Amino acid sequence: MSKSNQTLLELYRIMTFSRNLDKVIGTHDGHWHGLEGEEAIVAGVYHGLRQSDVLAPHYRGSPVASYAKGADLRRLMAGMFAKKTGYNAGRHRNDVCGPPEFNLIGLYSGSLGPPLGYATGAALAAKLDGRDDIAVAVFGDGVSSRGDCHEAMNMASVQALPIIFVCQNNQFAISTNINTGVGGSIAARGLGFGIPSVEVDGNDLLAVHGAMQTATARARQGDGPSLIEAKTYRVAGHFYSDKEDYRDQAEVDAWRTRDPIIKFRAYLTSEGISDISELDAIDQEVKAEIGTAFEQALADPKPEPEELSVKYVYAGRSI
Amino acid sequence: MYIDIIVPEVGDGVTQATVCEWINSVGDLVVEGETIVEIMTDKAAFEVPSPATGILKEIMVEEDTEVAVGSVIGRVAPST
Repeated sequence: MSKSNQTLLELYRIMTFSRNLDKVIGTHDGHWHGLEGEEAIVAGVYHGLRQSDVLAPHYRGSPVASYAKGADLRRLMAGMFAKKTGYNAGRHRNDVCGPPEFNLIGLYSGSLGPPLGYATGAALAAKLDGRDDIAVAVFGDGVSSRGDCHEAMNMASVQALPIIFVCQNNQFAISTNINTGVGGSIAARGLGFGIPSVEVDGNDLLAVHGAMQTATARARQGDGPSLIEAKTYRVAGHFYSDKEDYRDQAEVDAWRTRDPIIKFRAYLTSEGISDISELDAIDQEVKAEIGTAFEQALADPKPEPEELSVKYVYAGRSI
Repeated sequence: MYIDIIVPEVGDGVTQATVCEWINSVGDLVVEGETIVEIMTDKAAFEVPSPATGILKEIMVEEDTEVAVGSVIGRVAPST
C-alpha cells in the first residue's frame, strides 16, 4: 500500500474512532461533549504529530487527541471514570486533560483560553532549545474572542514561534450562536497579528489535513506560526444531555447531510483507494477496540483514599 | 470530476515550456497552492502549484518533455 493510501486510511480510522467513542461514552455519561460532524477536524489536525510536539486540544475531542498521540485507550477511559488504572490514578478528568507524558496540555483551570498561552510557551521552549518540535493549540469559536487567544497569537507572531493555532469553529459556544458571539472573521484576526491564516471547510478531511501539512512544515522550518480556521457545525449538542432548545432542529438536520465521514467514505471508494468492505472492517475493529477498553475500564478498581491525598501535589518533595 | 493541472502563462511571447520535475507521484496527497511540478521556459524556471487539495490522479506529461503553454499536464481528484 502506498504511503498516501496508508495515511488516508489512518485518517479514516481516527474519524470513525471518534464517532464510535461518542456513542459509547455519550450513552454512558450525559456530560460527554460529543463530536458528531466535527470528526474531519480532529482527524486532520491530530494525525501525524510527533510525541515530542506539544498539543493543547479542544476539550471537544481531547480523548481523540490523546489516542492519536499514542495513549492507551483503556487507561484513558479509566481516567474518565476516575479509576486507579487511569493515567493519573483517577485524580483528574482524562476527558478534558490528556496524559502529560504524551505532551498533551489539558484544560486544567476549567477556563477555556489559558491552554493557548501554555501552548505558546511550549513553542517558545522548543525554539529556545533549538528543537524542530512544534506546538498545536485548538480552540473553539467562542475562545477566539477571549484575551488569552489574542495575547497568545500576538506573542507567537512577534517571536515567530513554531505554533499552529486551529480554530475548530463549530458555530456554537455552548448555546451562543457565532452570529451573536463573534464579530467578523476569525481567520482575519490571525492576519491582523501578521500570522498566515486560512479558512478551510472543516467537513473536508483533506482540506484540514492539507492545511495542517502546510502549517506544520512552516513551523518546523522556523517560519513561524499559522492559523487555520476550520469551519464546521456542531451537530451534537453541547453535551449529550443537552435539550438544544436554543436552535432549530432543521438546521441540525441540514448539516447532517454534510457528514464528513460519509463524504470521505464516498471519496475513498470512488477513487478506488478502498472499498465498502474494507472500511466496514475498520469500523468493526474500532468498535471492538472501544467496547473492550470500555468494559475493562468500568471493571477496573477505584483508587485508594491515600492515592487521592496531597502526596502528589508538591513535585519533588516529601511531606 | 477531476481538476486539470495546466502549464500557466508565464510571460509575453512564451509559448513553450519543459516539464522539469514532478514533486509528487500519482496517488500522492497534494495540497492546493503547494508546488506540484516545476517547469522551465527559455527564460526562467517556475513552480506550478496544485490547483486543488486531493490526490494526484494522473501525470500526463513526463519529465524533460516540452509542452505548449496552456496544456493540461496532469489531473487532481479534489476532495470537495
